[in-house]
Amino acid sequence: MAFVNLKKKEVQVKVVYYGPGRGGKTTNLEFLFNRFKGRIKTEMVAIKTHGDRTLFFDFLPFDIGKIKGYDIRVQLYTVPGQVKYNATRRLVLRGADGIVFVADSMKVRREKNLISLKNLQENLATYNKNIFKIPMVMQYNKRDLSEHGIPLLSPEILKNDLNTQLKVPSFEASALVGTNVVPTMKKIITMTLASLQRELK
Amino acid sequence: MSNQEDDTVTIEVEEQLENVFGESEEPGDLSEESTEFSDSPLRDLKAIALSIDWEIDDEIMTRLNDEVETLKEKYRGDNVIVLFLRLLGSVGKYIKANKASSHPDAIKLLNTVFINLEKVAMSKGMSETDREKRLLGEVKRFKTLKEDIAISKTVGAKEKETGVPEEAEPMIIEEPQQAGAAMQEELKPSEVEEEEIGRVPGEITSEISDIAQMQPHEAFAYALDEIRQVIKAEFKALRAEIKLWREGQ
Repeated sequence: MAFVNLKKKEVQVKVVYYGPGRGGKTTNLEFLFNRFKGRIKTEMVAIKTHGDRTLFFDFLPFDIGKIKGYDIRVQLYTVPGQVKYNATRRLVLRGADGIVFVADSMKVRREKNLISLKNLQENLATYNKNIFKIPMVMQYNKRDLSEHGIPLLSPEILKNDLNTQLKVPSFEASALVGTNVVPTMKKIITMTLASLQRELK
Repeated sequence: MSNQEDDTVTIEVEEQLENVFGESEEPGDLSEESTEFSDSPLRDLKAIALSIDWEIDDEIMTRLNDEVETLKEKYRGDNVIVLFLRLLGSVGKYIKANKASSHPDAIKLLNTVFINLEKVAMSKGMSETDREKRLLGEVKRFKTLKEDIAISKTVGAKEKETGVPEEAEPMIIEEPQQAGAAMQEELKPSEVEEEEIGRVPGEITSEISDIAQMQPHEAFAYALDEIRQVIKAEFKALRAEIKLWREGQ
């Protein structure tokens, strides 16, 4: 649940970028930070291994101004995608108000996407959260790799695999060059805040 | 909450987000950094490097090799980048030859070499010292990997001979800054090229085959010597770092 300070009229929401390792979660945040660091005036925190993999999480906080008289602060997190870091993933997921599931479009990662989505469902369940109820956006990342002859899953296959039941908004994206990174982020923030408004009523 | 109220919030949020993140949806409207990267000669290499994670096949490794060769031509005249590319090519050849049985750190090394290459190539203001420091750090990792491979092969040969399993391969913990500082004192980039990278292609596999031909006791002695040298190098790096730290006080 988001942190709401009624006295100070502040709301803090937490959005977690989830998905398989090497899928582009950190790249999403890096793009946002590099593109807008002049406007958001905050720092991105990243804790990485020597191999540049996310060890604990990446963290990008920013303010978006006032909504209904409340100052809104958004915190974007990524989780480490590697299977072995599930305890960390679960910890980062705690208190999440919205999820962006960053799926890897590469054919060879098809199974990893499914495992990761299942893992998300299980980890949310440990906090009594339902994957079908939490605000969520699906991002099919790495679409640009087709230009380099790398076999990709079609959007239809990705949808069938991951979004047939969830039916959440989805974007085909390339975090590396920035395609649909911002719309993904805008969508999840809008959905999360609308959901929060409903909860608070 | 009614749908109307819901819509109001949504509109307000969208307006606020547009204020902060406006004019950014178009793929062509990217940041200076991203535009620079999308035009970068390293873009294809990055796509290849990203795809070599869980799946390694001949096709992708051949593409890596081809791309490295193309980039060597493109960056001819920039010694540091060419050396990075040679490191990348050498590690790529080793992975191609060994595929799934490659040492696990080989993939990590491939990634870190690429990441540092990218930083060196994309950061226009980076000083020559920083560029060399990054290169030396990777050379150090490369050396460590070579030693690890030699040790694990030796242990494997001994196990085969005696039928007694050895303990798991020892982890060598490396402080990159220490290693970088020590290497910087010991070697200049030109020396690195001659002494380290210049003799790299095919070297790892040839050393492995040499060890495989040793008698078990020779291989064991060789492994002990390798471990001794690694420890010695680590202490040397530590001493150099302490020296630098004292000088800075």
